[in-house]
Amino acid sequence: MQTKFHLTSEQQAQFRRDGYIGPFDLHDRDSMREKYNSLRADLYDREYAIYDLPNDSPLVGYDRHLDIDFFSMHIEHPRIVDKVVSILGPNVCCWRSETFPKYPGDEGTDWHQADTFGHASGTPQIRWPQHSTFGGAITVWTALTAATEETGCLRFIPGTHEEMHYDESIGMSFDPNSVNVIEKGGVRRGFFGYDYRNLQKDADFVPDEGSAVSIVMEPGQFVIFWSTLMHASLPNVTLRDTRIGFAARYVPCDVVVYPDTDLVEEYGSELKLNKYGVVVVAGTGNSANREVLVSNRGYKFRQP
Amino acid sequence: MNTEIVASLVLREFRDREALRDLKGEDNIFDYGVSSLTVVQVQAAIESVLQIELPTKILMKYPTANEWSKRYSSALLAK
Repeated sequence: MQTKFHLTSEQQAQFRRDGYIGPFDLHDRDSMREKYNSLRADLYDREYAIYDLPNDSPLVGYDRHLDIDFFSMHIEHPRIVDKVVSILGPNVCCWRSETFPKYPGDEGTDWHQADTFGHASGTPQIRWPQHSTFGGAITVWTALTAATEETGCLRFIPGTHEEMHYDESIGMSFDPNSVNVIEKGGVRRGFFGYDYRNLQKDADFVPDEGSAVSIVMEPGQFVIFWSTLMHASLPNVTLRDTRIGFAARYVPCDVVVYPDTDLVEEYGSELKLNKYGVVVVAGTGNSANREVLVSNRGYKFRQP
Repeated sequence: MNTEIVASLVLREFRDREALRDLKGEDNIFDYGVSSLTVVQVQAAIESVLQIELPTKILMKYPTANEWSKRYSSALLAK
């Protein structure tokens, strides 16, 4: 059965070819700007956050859909979920969300691809069923503020989503002092204290930046892409304009999330998973994953 | 510590940060593109001098130096 906001067959073909589709409109620009003003304060309110982290941890933006109502509603918004179902099938879970602020002067993000999401922690965070020939997650990246080439928009290399150039099991070392100081290919960039080049399967591999496209987005727009698509972001070269994106990550419900893991250690922080669970946004879940039906603040998610 | 001294301290701690050098008391600090880390550092610096702590979530709802000053002054009076 096709849903109201599904991807058309042409859009699905485009997504299969390029590894991304969009941007699409979700909120109008003015209402998103207004909402962002209150969200800024909400992001500092950790009373109901599921992870016990100080406000200066790099991971404060993880899984805020489990405690901030705006994000709880966002991850199950039909304009998003219907499109994700067009790609992943009828049973879909949101397993992770992250905010990505890029403040004036911040470096760009390294070119990278994510398959197991174990690149920083060293342990796979999602495991597809054994018969699957592919992995990764669908990321829906929503601009809460304007994402331009000056504020540090996303960059994609179309069609690169079916071959991983990185081995996430190699492991990287975290060095917060490396943030904002390293130039790669003439651009100041890094990976939040890591160097993603350390995961390259071929040490001489260089992403084909000549084929890259900038994903310029108005506040309230979203783009959908495979996490295995080669992607990066530009530095924020403005003086006062913060770029902030909200990434919601989806997988089919038969993917096991955080297999055999109670504690995640990455980016210099620890996440205890005792309050964590996936949110089933379409269809039915999988008994291997703990499901969250009500957010930590009391928002009732769709009942599977 | 009187209200004027608290206001002066709060504004000075903000202005000590390069990005906030031109901040006025009524300006929204977020309009200066200030990072969350910087805001938390400013809060810690103020609270270290005043020997009082306020919840970050309250301060972020009123993101100007003037509003922070009011809240710190009130908290000091109630101490």
